[in-house]
Amino acid sequence: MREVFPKFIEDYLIKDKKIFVLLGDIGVHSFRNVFNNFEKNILNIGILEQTMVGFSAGLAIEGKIPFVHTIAPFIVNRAYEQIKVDLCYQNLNVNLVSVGASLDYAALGSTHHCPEDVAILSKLPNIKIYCPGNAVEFYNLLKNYSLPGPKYFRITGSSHKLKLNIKNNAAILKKGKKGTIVVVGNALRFIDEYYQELDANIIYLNCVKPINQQVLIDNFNENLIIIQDFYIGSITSEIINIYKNKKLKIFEIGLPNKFFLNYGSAQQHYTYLQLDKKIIKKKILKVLRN
Amino acid sequence: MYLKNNTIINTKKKILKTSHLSKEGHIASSFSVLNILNVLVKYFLFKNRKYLNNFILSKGHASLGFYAILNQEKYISDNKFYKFASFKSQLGGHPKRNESIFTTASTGSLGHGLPILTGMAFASKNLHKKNKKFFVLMGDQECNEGTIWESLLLCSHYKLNNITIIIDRNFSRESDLSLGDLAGKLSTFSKNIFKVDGHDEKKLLYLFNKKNKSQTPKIIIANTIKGFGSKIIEGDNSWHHKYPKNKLELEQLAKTIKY
Repeated sequence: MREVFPKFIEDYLIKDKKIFVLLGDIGVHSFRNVFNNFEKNILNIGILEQTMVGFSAGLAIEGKIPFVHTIAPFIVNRAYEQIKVDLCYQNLNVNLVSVGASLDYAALGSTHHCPEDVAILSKLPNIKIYCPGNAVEFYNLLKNYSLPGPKYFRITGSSHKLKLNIKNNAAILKKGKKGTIVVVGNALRFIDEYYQELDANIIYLNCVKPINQQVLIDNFNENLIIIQDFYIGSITSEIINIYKNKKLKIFEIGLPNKFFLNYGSAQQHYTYLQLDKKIIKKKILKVLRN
Repeated sequence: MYLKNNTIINTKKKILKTSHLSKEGHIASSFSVLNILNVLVKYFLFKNRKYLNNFILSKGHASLGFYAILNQEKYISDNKFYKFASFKSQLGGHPKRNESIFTTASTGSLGHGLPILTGMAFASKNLHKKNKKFFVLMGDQECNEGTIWESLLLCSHYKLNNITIIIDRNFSRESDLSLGDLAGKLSTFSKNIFKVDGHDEKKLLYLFNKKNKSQTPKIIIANTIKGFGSKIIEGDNSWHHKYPKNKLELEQLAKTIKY
């Protein structure tokens, strides 16, 4: 998914010179073609994330459309107040693109993990949050770059394998009777091999703010399963608000709210956390039976 | 000894009145920077009465002072000014971005103005090839914030000599966290640093106009007195965020204003 980002920038810089990329000393090599061909539209600004976000606000005020890129915690956590005040409060068009997502930098430890990004960013007004599930979706979502207001794009190291018919950032994978499964972005990989066996409405979302409310309303079932590759609870309140007074039984699959203290690979973490296709399938079937 | 300036004295009285009406406003900080704002608004922020979108009041709590000067120069009506910080007012206790009321950036949390202005000045000079001057007014203790020094690193690296950084050096918290030789600390980022009496408008005008021949931002350390003009407010730090409670207090304070 990651390599799509410089490709998109190269493709779109040909026609839109307002685009300006700020790298926080991350991904510099992968943007080498942009540096070579569009040197006036890109900077490796250095390791000063708070100022990088403020600087991007200044570029936006002067009519540029900035993309700000670094590892997720360094932008979401380190520069949270700048995202709030400089981008969201001022409602400026700046595109934040993070890499690393929840556990992609497993071996580097918790300083480099950001399973809370969706939860904390979604509490800020005006921001849009995109969670692409694979490279094709990511490229398509990036086309929203010129929409007004701040946007967050979450690049993940893992992807799902399906080709989906996505409308308004949502897809109905199938209809069923025993429940509704809401699955976000790359978490679809947990069920993409067997989802047809599940007797449930399966709703895929690659944008969690704003969320496609109509799809959720149209596919209501009080037996609700949320599957995500970030902290459990990140989008729950938003979904409860959509279903307002309806009775709900919610079962969530995702990352538990803790620091992940092991190293190794991301896959080892998911296995350790029982976020494994077979175990998840068993859990879902059990919920759908009840 | 300062020259008596009846216009500014009147503006300060209006600040007191507005603060009394709104029960809001940082009077002492506004008085501290009023001469600086007077020079900026009169000579640098407007052309043919059109706002140039080139200024950030990074010490946002002095917004009342900024609006007062805009009112004095008839950019903001009395009606709007006296409704400062009321529920539907566009003029707040900290400024909110709205270019139609001459506010380029929302500030209030310190250390945000310079990074934003750096981005603007970079785009203007290095991308749009414009010859436009940008100004930011910060508090001295705002220099505690790391983003100030991050931005200075960028300003000097990208040769942003189109920025004038004005530091309101009123020493209000010097005893708690000393900035000490502020000019010395800044000198690695700029070859163009001036110290000036921040209440001497002639000198301020001269320095703001002075051509910046260096490739670094112009930094003006404006030595000021917090609450300048009123002996009562100057000497009492409790006036940092306090309003005249009643008409009697308002009148008594107004009488103390000498400059």
